[in-house]
Amino acid sequence: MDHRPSFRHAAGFCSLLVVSGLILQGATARELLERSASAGVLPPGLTVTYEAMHPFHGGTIVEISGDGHGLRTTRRRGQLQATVRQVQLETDEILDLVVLLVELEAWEQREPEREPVPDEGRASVLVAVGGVEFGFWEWYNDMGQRDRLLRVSALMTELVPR
Amino acid sequence: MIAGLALLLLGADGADAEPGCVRGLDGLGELVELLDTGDAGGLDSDCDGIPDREDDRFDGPVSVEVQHPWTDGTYSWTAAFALTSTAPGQHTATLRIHLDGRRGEQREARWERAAEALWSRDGLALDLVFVDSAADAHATVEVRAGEGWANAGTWFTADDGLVVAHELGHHLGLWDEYPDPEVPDRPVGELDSIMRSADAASRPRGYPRHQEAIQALFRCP
Repeated sequence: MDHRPSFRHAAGFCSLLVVSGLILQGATARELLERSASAGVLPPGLTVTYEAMHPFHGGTIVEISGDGHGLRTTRRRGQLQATVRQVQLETDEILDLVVLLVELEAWEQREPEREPVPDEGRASVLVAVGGVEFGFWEWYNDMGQRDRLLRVSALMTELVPR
Repeated sequence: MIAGLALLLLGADGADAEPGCVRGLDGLGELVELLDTGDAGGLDSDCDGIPDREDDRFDGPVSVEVQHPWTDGTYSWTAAFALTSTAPGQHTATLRIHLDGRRGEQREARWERAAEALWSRDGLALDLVFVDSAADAHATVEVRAGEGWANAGTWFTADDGLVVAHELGHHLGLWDEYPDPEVPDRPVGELDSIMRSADAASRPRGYPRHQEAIQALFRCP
């Protein structure tokens, strides 16, 4: 077996250095994600959390870390106890998520703020990377009309099934 | 004869509220305290100037239109309905809801039966009427196909009668009673309180405090 590092590994290592260097330089989260997506290397310390959990309606929380750890918490309406599912993901699967977050410009909050009516709730995605957190939210019932957070939800719930 | 009287209760913070706006004081905890002291029992169901507890004759039904803005933490809404005294301490709450969107006769009949059955108790009768025109309604609710997170302004065709009964509780001026990080100081109700859970497995029901809170909104102008 050939244990010499391949060109691909070397390129990936260099990209990792570049992405890590961006963190040290205080790059914006947007720059980190964009560089990560184009280089095909996950930035260190990446965590992506999709949350659509309501205290009355129940729902789902999916958390994916750059180390491959995927965690899904599901609680049905009226249930006090939640079920938890854990999976281990491949780097390429998480990179798909990073690419989607860049495509959707996940650092932009587009839904305007307003007062909710009783039992109305939001869903959100929160990205933590390089000591920076960003994300966006939408009203849960309007996700289908926006087709933005819905795509994050679809991918993350596919990666970490119930 | 039913005397048609209009009553507009304003001010959710207590400062501008009419004495009858007990929920506007400080929420459920203070309401319960108020009811326990009997202060909310001073209803004058026939509006003859004599409190029910001292009145040995009921002079006839009186109807008032209640419209009241509420806030509960970050949430805000307006309760609106007609409240008619039918006997001392007995009231009928008439709620005319305009459904905007997916209509379905059988589904709406189920919602109506479930909501009326749940809220008609302890001196209160709910008369839920789905009307075709928003102009004739106390409130408009959007109805969407499929499943979703029902709220006071939007229902889903997959919602069962318990969910609808819960949402109608808001239209009658009741607050949520489940723990909510958005409202950290919210009083939490019993596991089977309809304002805490609409899950059939918990056999949700109304509690006397709910009916009392609704009836306490009855005040002769």
